[in-house]
Amino acid sequence: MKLLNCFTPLWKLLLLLYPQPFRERFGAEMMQVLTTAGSQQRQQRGMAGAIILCLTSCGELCWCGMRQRLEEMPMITWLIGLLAVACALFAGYVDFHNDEVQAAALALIVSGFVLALVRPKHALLWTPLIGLGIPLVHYLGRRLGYQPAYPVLTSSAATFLLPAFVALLGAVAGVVIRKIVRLS
Amino acid sequence: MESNVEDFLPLSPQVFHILLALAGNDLHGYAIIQEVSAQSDGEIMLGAGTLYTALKRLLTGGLVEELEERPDPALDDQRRRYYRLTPLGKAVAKAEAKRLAGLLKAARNRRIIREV
Repeated sequence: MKLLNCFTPLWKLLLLLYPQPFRERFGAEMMQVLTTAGSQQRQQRGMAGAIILCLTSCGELCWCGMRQRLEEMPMITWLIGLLAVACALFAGYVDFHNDEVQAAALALIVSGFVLALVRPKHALLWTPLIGLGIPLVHYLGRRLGYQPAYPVLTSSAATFLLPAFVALLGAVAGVVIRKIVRLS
Repeated sequence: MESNVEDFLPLSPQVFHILLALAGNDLHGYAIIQEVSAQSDGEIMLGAGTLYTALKRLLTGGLVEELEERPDPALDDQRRRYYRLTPLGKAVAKAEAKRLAGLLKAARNRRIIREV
C-alpha cells in the first residue's frame, strides 16, 4: 500500500496541468477516485495490476489536463501564439538570409519584447517558441534546396538555446516595462 | 427543446455510457466508472481525467446536475459528489440511442450484421 501512496504526490503534481478553476472544482474528487481505483485494483489484481493502473492514470491525467488547458485557453492567447510562430519564422528567415547575426538578434529581441509586453503571463512560453524559428527555417530551407547565408548546425542544441536566450532577454524587458507601466 | 437535443449529437461512446450509467441511479465519480465498465462488459474503462473532463462538459451543457446533499462523513468520503441526469440529459441519451438504432437498422438491411 505504501508503494501506491507514492503516486499521490505525483497525481497532485499532474493535476497542476489542469486549469485552476477545473482543479478547484474537481481536483479533490479526482484524487478520491484515483486512490480508490488504485486500492480496488490492488485487491482485485494484486500490486502489479495496481501499479499499471496508477501509471496509466498518470498518462491519462497528462493528456486530459493538456487538452482541458488548450480548450479553456482564451482566444487572445491563441492569437498571440500564432503571432509568436510568425515572429519565429520571421527571425528564422532573417537569419537564413544574413551572414551577420545582428539582424536576427534584433528580430528575436523585438519579438520577445512585443509578445511579453502584450501577454506577460505567458512570456516564458513564447521564448522557446521563438527560439525554434531559426533551426526550423534552416532545416526546412536546406531540405527545399536553398543555401543559407552561413551554415548552421540544426542538430545542435545551441542553435535552439542561443536564439531562445536572446528572445528571453527581449521578453524580460517586455515584462519589466509592462510592470513599470502598470505601477505608474 | 428538440433542436437543443440535436446540438449535442452525436455523443462519444464514453459520454453516452456516462449518461446511461446515470440514467439508472444518482452516482458519484468512482461509481460511474464501475457502472460504465459493467455495462460495456469491461470494454470501456474510464480514467479519472476522461471522466471529469466529460462530466464538466455535461454539467456545463445542463445534461447532468450535481446533487446538493453531501454524503454522511461517517458513511462515505466527504470528497465525493453525486451526479444526476437532468431531463435534457435523458432526452439527449434517448436521441442518441435512437440514432444508433437507426444505424444498426441500416447495417442489418445491408446485411453487414445479422439479426440477434
